[in-house]
Amino acid sequence: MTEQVEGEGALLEVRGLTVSAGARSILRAVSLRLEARSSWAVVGPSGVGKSTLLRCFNRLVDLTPALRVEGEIRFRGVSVRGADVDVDALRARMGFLFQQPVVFPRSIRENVWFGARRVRGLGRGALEALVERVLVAAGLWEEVKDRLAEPAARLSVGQQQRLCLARALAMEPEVLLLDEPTSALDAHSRALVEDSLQRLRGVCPLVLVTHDLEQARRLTDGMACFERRGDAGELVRFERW
Amino acid sequence: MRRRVDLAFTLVTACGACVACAVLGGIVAALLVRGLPAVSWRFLTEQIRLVGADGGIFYNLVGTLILLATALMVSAPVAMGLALVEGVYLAGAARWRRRVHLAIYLLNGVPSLLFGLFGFVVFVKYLDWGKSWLTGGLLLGMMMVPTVTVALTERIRGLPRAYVEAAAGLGLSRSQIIWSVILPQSLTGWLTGTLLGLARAAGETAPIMFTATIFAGATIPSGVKESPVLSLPYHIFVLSQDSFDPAVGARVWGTAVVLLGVVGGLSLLALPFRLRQHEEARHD
Ligand SMILES: Nc1ncnc2c1ncn2[C@@H]1O[C@H](COP(=O)(O)OP(=O)(O)OP(=O)(O)O)[C@@H](O)[C@H]1O
Ligand SMILES: [Mg+2]
Repeated sequence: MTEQVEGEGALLEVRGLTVSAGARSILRAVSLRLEARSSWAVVGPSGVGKSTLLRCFNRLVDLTPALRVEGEIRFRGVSVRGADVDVDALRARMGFLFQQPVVFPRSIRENVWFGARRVRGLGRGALEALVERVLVAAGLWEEVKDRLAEPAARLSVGQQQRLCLARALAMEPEVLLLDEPTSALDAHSRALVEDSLQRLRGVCPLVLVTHDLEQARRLTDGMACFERRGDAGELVRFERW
Repeated sequence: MRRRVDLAFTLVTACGACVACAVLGGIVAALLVRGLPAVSWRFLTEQIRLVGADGGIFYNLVGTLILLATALMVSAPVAMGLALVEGVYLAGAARWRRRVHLAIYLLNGVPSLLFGLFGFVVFVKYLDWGKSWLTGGLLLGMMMVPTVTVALTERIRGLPRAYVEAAAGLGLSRSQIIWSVILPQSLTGWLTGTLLGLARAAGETAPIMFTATIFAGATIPSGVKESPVLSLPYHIFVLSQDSFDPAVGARVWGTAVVLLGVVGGLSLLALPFRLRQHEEARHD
């Protein structure tokens, strides 16, 4: 009982998380607690396991059978690693943005409602309204409002990343997991994505992997620093600013 | 020295290519010279008369198309199922995947005559269907399965992981990912494999001669039992064996040209999809 009360204040709580590939550890004994109603940055050198940590949160690691995960992760007080967890439903509650935007070979509009239509089962009318709302929130509406039927692949990389953000927002996620979302983008798109995230963080907490400390300070309330010890990444510092 | 070896290698390769092209060109030219004069609108739209000495091959063409359409419908679900099992469901189980792979290659190696005997024993005799277009379609469809499966599996394997991860990240279930990401994006692979498989099936005689096709007297089948069709390859097979009548001879060559047209048409249809596939592979 006490554990549940303790867990209620936390967005994500990690205890003793170790991820390994064969004999090699990637993350070792990570324990951390990200409070709800705040946004957090995850920083550290390349290859330290930041993406892997994010993929553990929504269990995308399951798609890489070579990786073995041990330890406990709770999302809003409920374990995400139990055998009885509905993984698809869990992933639907967490928006995920990859470093490189991934758009499906379909129209812009169909990309935006790709998940919402299939997972949330919304009807046509609701979807049309949703498309405009989330594209505005992602800072892309003005640029695409007259060409929603065009193939999404025609957009620039920066526009594609904002499209991916809109697609994630269309799921009305409870948290956004962002894996270096701006590192592949031009300055203009980076600024627009940052503006969107700045507006969103009041509504939906962010967990942002980034190499850019300035960006971390602008967009989040604190950070978890990882460093390499031996072959594995470990949490070395946790601070709130 | 290096350059000489290089040159010799190039020469041998070029000779090989020339021989292959010459054989193909020779066959096509011989067929066209002897067969084209016999091909006419009447030839294509009339039914067979005087045991092949007069009339046309309308119902032979229709029969072959019925067999091919059935084979297409039989092979599609089986090949898609196999490719999904092999490329998606067994993605983590290398041993089982190899077994499925082996089974597909073994199936591909089974001589077409054995398919015919199998169909004769099971459908014609045991199920007592007699000769039926459905048996022929089923057998040709099964023979196509390896070609279609391999083309589809290659496409599924080549699909960037990022698509699957992005869809999974949105909360799509595995079957939703299959329907909205994997299958639509490997459709060109399925189409290529199917068209190539159909092109081969169109000319097969052994699997259908005891099970599905007769020489004369069938039109469009209305049921399953005792419902054979005429077909192009069997027509050629029968007439070329016992005919000294020059009128028949010309019609055999004409039939061969029509069959070549069906096969060539199917292969040509597959070409744009294969080219596009290569192009996409280069862009990824
Ligand atoms: N499937 C796998 N099998 C083996 N090792 C893997 C696998 N996936 C990732 N790794 C290893 O895990 C380590 C951490 O990878 P990860 O992508 O999480 O790092 P990262 O901190 O996100 O780095 P970057 O800042 O470059 O994105 C890397 O050393 C990588 O080689
Ligand atoms: Mg990374």
